[in-house]
Amino acid sequence: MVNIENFILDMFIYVGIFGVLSISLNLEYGFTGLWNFGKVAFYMIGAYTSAIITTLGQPFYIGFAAGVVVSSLAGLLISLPALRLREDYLGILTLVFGEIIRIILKNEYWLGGPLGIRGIPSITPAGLDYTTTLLVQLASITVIAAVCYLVAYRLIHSPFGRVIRGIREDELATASLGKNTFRYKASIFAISSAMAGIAGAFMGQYVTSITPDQFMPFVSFTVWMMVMLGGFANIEGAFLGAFLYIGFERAARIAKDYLLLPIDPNNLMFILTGLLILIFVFLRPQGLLKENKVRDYKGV
Amino acid sequence: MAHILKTDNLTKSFGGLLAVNNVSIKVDEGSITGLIGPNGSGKTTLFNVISGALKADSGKTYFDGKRIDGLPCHLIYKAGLVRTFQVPRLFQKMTVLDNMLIAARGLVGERLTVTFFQSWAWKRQEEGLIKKALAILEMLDLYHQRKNLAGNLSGGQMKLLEMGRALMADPKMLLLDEPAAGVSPLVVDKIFEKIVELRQSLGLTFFIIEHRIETLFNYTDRVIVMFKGQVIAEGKGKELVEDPKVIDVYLGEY
Ligand SMILES: Nc1ncnc2c1ncn2[C@@H]1O[C@H](COP(=O)(O)OP(=O)(O)OP(=O)(O)O)[C@@H](O)[C@H]1O
Ligand SMILES: [Mg+2]
Repeated sequence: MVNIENFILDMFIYVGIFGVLSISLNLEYGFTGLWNFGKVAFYMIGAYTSAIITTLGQPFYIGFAAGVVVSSLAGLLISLPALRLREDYLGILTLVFGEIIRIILKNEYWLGGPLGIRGIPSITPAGLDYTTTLLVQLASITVIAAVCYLVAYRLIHSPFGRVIRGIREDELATASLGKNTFRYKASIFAISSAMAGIAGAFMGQYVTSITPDQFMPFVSFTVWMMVMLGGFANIEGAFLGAFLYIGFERAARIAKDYLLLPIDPNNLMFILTGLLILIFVFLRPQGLLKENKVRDYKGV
Repeated sequence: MAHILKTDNLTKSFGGLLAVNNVSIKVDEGSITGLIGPNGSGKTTLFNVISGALKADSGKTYFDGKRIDGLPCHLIYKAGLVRTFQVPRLFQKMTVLDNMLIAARGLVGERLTVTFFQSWAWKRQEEGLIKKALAILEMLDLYHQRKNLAGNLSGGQMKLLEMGRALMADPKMLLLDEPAAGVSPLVVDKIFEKIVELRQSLGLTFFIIEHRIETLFNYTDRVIVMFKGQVIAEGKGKELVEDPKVIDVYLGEY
């Protein structure tokens, strides 16, 4: 049996990482109505950029910053053609974009090829015991997640946040009310991609090795499920969804060691999450938490 | 009087259908001009082309002395020309007040630097905007709905909110597509009285699509009649009633 403390610490570190990814998808889909099925692409770009730079000997903050900038630029770049498309095409294009990046990384040996990048320097100093290492990692992702949360908080509780909700509800009406919707959508794409980038950069140094196959489209779908659980257009729900999903996954992972099943126990997790999603789709399609208001308008 | 809006041979087709066919019109500044025509005669399409929601196949549009055809919607709004939709296009999952505020002009919060680092700046601006929005809502009898979701309004209230939103945008000219459709008959007159009042107090120009001929003739300075994509007549209400072309295609139906 694994050490339960470490197991839980590790779980919360992933809740932090995926909480950031969920906030990022929530900004795009929940608030702005942009269908991004390729969240993993920007997570991957952040992870690879930072891993390459830090393994070359640069400090982690340079790596993280580069991960953020490159992911964000990639988001901006793909948004230029993609945001002119209808929403369903945007979904397909982002999905394909993720796969293209993954396949390129798999085939370019100077970028690690199929084996990826190993020996990524961790942000935690060497020589700490494992539990302390995990605590430092957890503290770090908490800071990152808090910053992302604050950025999202400022955005959605502001006139900017009102306009992106308008784009989601009716883009033509928003444009007719004088808003350059393209500029708003591109900004959201860039900011969200930056968040996915930092999540990736953090993850890379945490696990210290990354491979292209860690970044399958399933990762993007996982983030979608988290947003769906926590609630669309709710930034607190992003963390709740990540917590529920990962908690569920871990519980299923432990359960399978104790259960005698007529099926391959490794599939248990997929079956259970599938069921969970079905239950939500039928009973509470909007997710657990309601949409965040723009403002409370106290006294109005 | 100067023409605030002018179109030169505007044409728009959908496949083989000429929805707007060589339309050249002029709207006087400060006037209330009506647009009538049977269903499918191209009135809404003309508004869509003028407001930038659709691109014209050919022809030119001038607003306030500048060419605006080919401009995207948000720049036409910036020029001061604001439109409403025949079928209300509200932000359903947002409150009535949010629907109003989003329409405001020159929001400092449009800049990300203000959003992130100077929230006091947009908050201060918004105080004024909220007052203005509430005053418009009051005028439209929507004040009590201010915190409700727009999607929960009745059909008539939705039409009113569409107009309120457009007024929030400080327009020079409003294109209203059937502002009183689905509104109870008593409210219809109230809406048009408000329109007359707004023209007086703010000097706005109105270009209004309306099916009720009586109403239109009562409140407008001039009426343009469209049929099958073309302008077939224009003039004062009284003259039009006697125009055989108009009687033929439109009034004849009554
Ligand atoms: N987006 C579109 N695609 C194809 N055809 C269209 C489109 N919009 C309008 N039409 C057609 O163009 C013609 C003019 O329509 P339009 O809506 O402009 O008429 P209207 O005068 O506003 O009618 P109503 O009084 O019913 O609102 C109609 O035949 C309509 O079916
Ligand atoms: Mg119409």
